[in-house]
Amino acid sequence: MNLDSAKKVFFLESRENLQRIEENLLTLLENAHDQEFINALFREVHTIKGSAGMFGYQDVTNFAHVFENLLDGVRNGEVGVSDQLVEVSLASHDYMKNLIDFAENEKAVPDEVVSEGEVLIERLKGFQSETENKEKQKAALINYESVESRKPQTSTADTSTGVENRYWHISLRFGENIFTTGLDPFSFIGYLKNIGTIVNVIPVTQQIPEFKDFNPEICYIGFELDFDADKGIDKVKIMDVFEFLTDDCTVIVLPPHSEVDHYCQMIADLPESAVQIGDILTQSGTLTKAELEEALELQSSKSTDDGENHPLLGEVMLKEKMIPETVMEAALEKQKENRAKEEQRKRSIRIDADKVDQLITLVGELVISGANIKQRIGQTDDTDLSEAVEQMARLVDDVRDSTMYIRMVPIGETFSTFKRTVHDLSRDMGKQVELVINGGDTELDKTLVEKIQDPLMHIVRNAVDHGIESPEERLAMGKKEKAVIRLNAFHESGSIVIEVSDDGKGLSRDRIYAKAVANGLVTSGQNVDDRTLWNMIMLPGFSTAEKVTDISGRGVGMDVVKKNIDSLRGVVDIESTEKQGTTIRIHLPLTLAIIDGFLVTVANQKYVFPLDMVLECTDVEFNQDDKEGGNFFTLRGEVLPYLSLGELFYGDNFKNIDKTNENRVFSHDDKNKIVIVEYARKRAGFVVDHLLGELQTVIKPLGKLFYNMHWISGATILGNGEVALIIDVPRLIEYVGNNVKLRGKK
Amino acid sequence: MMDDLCFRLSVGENGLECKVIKSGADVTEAEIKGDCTIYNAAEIKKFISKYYDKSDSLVLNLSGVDEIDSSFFQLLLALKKDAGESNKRVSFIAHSIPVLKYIDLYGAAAMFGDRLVVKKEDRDKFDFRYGLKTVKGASGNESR
Repeated sequence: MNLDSAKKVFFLESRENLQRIEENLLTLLENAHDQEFINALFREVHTIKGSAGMFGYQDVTNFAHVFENLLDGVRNGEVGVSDQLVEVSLASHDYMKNLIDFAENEKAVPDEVVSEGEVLIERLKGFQSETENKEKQKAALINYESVESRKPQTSTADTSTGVENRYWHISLRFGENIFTTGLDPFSFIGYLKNIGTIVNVIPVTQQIPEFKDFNPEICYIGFELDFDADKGIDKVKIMDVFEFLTDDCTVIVLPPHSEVDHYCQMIADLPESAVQIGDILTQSGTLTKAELEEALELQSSKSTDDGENHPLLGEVMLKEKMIPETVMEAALEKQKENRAKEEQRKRSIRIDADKVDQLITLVGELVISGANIKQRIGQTDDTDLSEAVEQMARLVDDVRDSTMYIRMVPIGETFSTFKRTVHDLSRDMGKQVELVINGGDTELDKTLVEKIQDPLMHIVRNAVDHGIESPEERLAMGKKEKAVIRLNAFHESGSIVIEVSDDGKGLSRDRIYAKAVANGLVTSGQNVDDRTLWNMIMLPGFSTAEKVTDISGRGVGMDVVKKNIDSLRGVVDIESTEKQGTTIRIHLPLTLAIIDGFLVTVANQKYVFPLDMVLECTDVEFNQDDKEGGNFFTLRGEVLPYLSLGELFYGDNFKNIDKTNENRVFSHDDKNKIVIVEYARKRAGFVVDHLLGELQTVIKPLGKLFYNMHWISGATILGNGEVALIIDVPRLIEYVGNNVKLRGKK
Repeated sequence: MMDDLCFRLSVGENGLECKVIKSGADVTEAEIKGDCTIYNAAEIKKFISKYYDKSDSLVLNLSGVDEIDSSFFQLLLALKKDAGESNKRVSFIAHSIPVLKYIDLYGAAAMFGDRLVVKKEDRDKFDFRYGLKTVKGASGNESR
């Protein structure tokens, strides 16, 4: 395997591990005693440590080792979960992320980062030494008890039923192909010496056949080990030694003073007969004769009352087999679950984004040529052929949809990165903020997700910094001490909506108004509605923050946010109620590359509206409205602004073109065709010449030459090779809203 | 009859060399040298099988074994076990360091029951403290 590509995978996976570490840490803050999260944390750090070691990133391994030790202490209940602990852990997470970034860019780690790491290591160790001090106070016996109580199996057990053996017992049986895989049990067993002292090793030879039948390439042997683990080594760490063994190998690890029952179960799980194993266990000193007697009495009273004082050892062991079956079933069930999880993970594959892009380009071409065929077939009378083409068109549709779907990723992952931001910020500012996430599984295009992250981050920071009041202020206002910031994502009329809302103090109308007057945006005394006013905060250089913090308030924030969202063909909308909170709503188009379009003509040129945004098409007479001079019309009682695309695009010339066109192509009356579109909860009508119907549209960028075309967001190629321009509905709606209103006011 | 002729059964293109030093009905003495890993496991078994049945006692000189893995250890174990069950005698002599390391860690010193000679300067490499203390059919436990 190519090492470079393996490394790439390592970096990818480490990022994922780190992300999960962060998530788990944040959950831990709310849920300090959930063992599940602590275990998960430990595993993730352990994975990073292991794989970093494999690639020789010693600094990562070393650091992860210290971190892991601390988490191990937490897992064992030796170190309590505290806010400080989570803080240090978060810092450790950041540091590891840093190290991995440097490793990926193949840069040397700068000295200041190294020293930062050293400080962190000291802090991590600080937690541990606390533990050690505590531990010193405890007697050795108590230590054993804590080992005992750690074992998941013996939750109710009383330690007196445990065996005398104060060592770990390890049973190893290997798959018959282990020799040929190049794995040598010798190295695993030898490795144990690094984490403790091997007390005894007994080779188990019962499975070896007669020499003439003996196949030297098959593994028949197994081992029974007694092992004195070093301090801090637990079952997981011992199991880890054998983690490279394949599934057909059996590794059983019994903690010191395990109950006789567990030994019985172990014996049941091993391939040799109970007599043979029993012999080995007694002779090696793992179990005493008395313990076997005890097991024996226990068993005979449980199963049959044969009253015999000394039944054969084997009999007891065999009977013993019956007991753990339920336990075994539970274990199997668990195993099944784990396997299902594992398979789920295997089902997702990593693909280079370029490959997906290439596929999308190809599907785009397919859609175009499909449209071409469809158009041509309309000109023939061959019904069979047109039926076949119909079917193909449907398939092309499906192919297009599922191709676009490949790029769709849930936004939840992006959302959860804000948890950390909110946590850090609110701590720094002495505020209490809870981040509530809804609709995290709403899917949108991967490039959109990437590009929306920064603007969203800014909005969230703003909310914490400016929106949320300090706990005292909140209490004084009768609000809950802990503020809530909500992140919502959902689908709405062909767009994705992402909302960031807080229950803070809301925007200050007076202050924004004053600032707008000062900037010359409105004249003093002018009546401005809320929405217009709120939107002004997204203008360049518009900041009303009383104090500039390092987080926000320099006035270069919201305008950049708006610009970024504009570039994604999105729209930002602000709602705010003083003292109750602010909601910032971002509408984003569903996809970037292929859309269903609605084809119209204006002055013989074809234009496409994104179909998702088209509400309806209708004929309207404008006579009475025109007289009043405003561009409004009434549709079923609702007043809507409208705009003639012809006039917008061609100005006064349009009337001339229009006339010739009308005379030549169709003989309609003076009724106008109007397309009613909606975007970001605003509606408007656009007057066009002809309605041509739906089509699939592959959006092609227009290139630099048309960079300044405001009303056009792209172009598409029609089936016959003609170019149609795609109307930039969000911008047009905004334009209509502003201009028509102004004209109406005059 | 003793056969003083040394002949080679297989010459080590795989780094393995198996030699019969003496061959007879009561004792066969042979030597295995070189790479005794899974790559040569089948070859080694073939070699031993050829002489194992023919005499009551097999002596294997392991002084030249310079590479070993668990498959070879298992083969030695299989020989000892089979010998114990079929009233034969198999002994290993002049174990090389790698062989000793396996016997040591795998707790087989007593089980094998052969005399283990460890040079003074190598002694701290080994513990020889694992394994069962008493073994059925073992011919005594000597270690120096």
